[in-house]
Amino acid sequence: MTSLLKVEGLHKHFPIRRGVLRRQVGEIRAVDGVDLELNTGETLSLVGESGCGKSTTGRLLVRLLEPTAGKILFEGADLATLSQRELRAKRQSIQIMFQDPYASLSPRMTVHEIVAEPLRVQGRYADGGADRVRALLELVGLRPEHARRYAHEFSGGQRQRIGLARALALDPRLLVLDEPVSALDVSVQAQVINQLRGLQDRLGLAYVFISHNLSVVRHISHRVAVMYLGTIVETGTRADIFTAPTHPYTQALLSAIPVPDPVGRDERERITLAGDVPSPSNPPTGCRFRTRCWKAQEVCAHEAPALIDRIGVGHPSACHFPEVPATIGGA
Amino acid sequence: MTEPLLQIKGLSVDFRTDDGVVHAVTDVSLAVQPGEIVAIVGESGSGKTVTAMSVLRLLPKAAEVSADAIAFRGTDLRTLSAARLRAIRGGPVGMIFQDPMTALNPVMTIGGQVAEAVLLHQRRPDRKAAWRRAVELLGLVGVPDPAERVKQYPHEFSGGMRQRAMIAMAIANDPDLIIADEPTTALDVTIQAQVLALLRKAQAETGAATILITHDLGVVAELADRVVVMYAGRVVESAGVRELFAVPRHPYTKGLLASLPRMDLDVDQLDPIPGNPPNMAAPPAGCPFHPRCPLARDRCRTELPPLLEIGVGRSSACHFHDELAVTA
Repeated sequence: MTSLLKVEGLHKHFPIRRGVLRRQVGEIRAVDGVDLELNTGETLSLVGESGCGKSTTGRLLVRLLEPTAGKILFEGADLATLSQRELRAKRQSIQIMFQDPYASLSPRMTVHEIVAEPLRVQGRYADGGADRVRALLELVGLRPEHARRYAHEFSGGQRQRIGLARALALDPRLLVLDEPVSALDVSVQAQVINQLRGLQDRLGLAYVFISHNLSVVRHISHRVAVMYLGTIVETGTRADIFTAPTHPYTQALLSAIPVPDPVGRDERERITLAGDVPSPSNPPTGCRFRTRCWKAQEVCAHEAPALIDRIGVGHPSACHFPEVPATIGGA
Repeated sequence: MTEPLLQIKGLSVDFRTDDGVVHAVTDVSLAVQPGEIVAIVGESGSGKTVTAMSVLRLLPKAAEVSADAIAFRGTDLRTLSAARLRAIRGGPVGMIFQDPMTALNPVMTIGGQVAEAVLLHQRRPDRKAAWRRAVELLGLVGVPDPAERVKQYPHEFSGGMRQRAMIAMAIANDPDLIIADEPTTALDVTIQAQVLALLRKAQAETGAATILITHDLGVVAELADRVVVMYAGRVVESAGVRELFAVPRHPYTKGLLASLPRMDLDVDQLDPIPGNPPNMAAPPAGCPFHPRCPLARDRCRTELPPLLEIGVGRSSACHFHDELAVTA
């Protein structure tokens, strides 16, 4: 079976320029060698902290950014080598929904115009476009009379539904969801999460779900890739990552989540990492996590650990000394 | 019980806007005992920040504040002169804000700002001593190499380090009360864990009471002794942290807990609260939560439920809180 999406050796380096001549003095390796694979109807989550490259990866997938190197195969075709015309057609199948429901919708367009825009751009509006917009609004739980209103008349949760209706307008097969619920209050966040799951079941959508919120990721994902400084440090099924994480960064990330249960909070084992994430313009040699890692040895400074399954747990981890912990977090 | 460190009674705050008067906070009463950590939880617009900011009169001019009492260690803060209020801000009451980038002065060194916080509250200002204290404080909150880092500016600090500097300023004058407004919301989880550990340590060492304002029930469960839940500008429930999480006695609290995806539990389907938070310029009649409430009936649409004591140290503003007691 060929996968819906296959990403190989993806790189995105941003130049750092200084001086009058804008000479390049360095580069930020925002995404530095990422491989991903995703099947129809599946959710793959990219998790990590700010600056790990997860959002850049998402933007590369829909080619809002041009990759520095690497292949993005969608239904077997390499998006980087397609002609403009072919790309335009393929692009309909890959859509993106953004984090900020306030910045991502035009204040000058009605909801109808916002959702109709992708149809018009692709020349599909003339043929039953108005009905299509009505159906889309209904699909995401908005009422038909909402179509005549402007985005500012809606709450954050409703705006995310408008963004979702727009993303769904062209019958995509893959949605890149960039922190889609992070700006929402918890009570509303749960509504949107349930809706995303419902739509996935009904429409057979595949999601790349980008998030820093591991509780949400645990709830929604089939597979998870943990990123740190532009690379994937560990990847596997939801169960692999949440019950048998072998990379120290994954373990630290999981134990850092505050558990909404005060019982036993004083006995809970926590791994508190020292220091901050290093700058991606000057990442550490060898393993990028070694400057914050309690297990770091000589070898970690010299040799970047490959993303492989060293101890036979069934999923790969980019650590020289992977191990399955006895207990994790509050579980 | 000792006299509360901070006592707020009948606090209401209105904002006049183009869309009419917004009742940001209505009839909020709250007491903080010495040394305890009280969390004020609620979603955006629930009035939690406005409540806390009104204590030190830090609200914009457009705010119309009325209260039967706002007293800190018995001193009435409502009528205190501006000069005496300044002596309290940053002195016996320390503040930590959500966004350390906008709360810190970008053109002043970190050390200068921490030292200033110390100097302003010294009887005989001594610059050198204040600077030494700044270095000591930054070391205490875990800024590495503090003697060098004091000379740096806020933009040279990471988010987590800036928040540490804010905490250093808040604890500079051995406060009795720390007001922390979403202190970890802008931070990544591993940094949040560091800052939570630091807040726990600062609280243990200074013995200061803390008002923790947050929307994150995980942070509440990790840190708080007591919880006050706000909705639509009112307190809807208040209880000890264990009691609240074990048996919430207001349907809003219960709904919040059910809508959380959990790291420690497998839930198949999240159970969201339907609808949206109310428009505070035109809040619903009766109980403000009734349009979203599974327990709502006719009485809720017309009659505002008062916040009543329903047990030792706990109260609920629901007509039907009894129905929630059995479902534990």
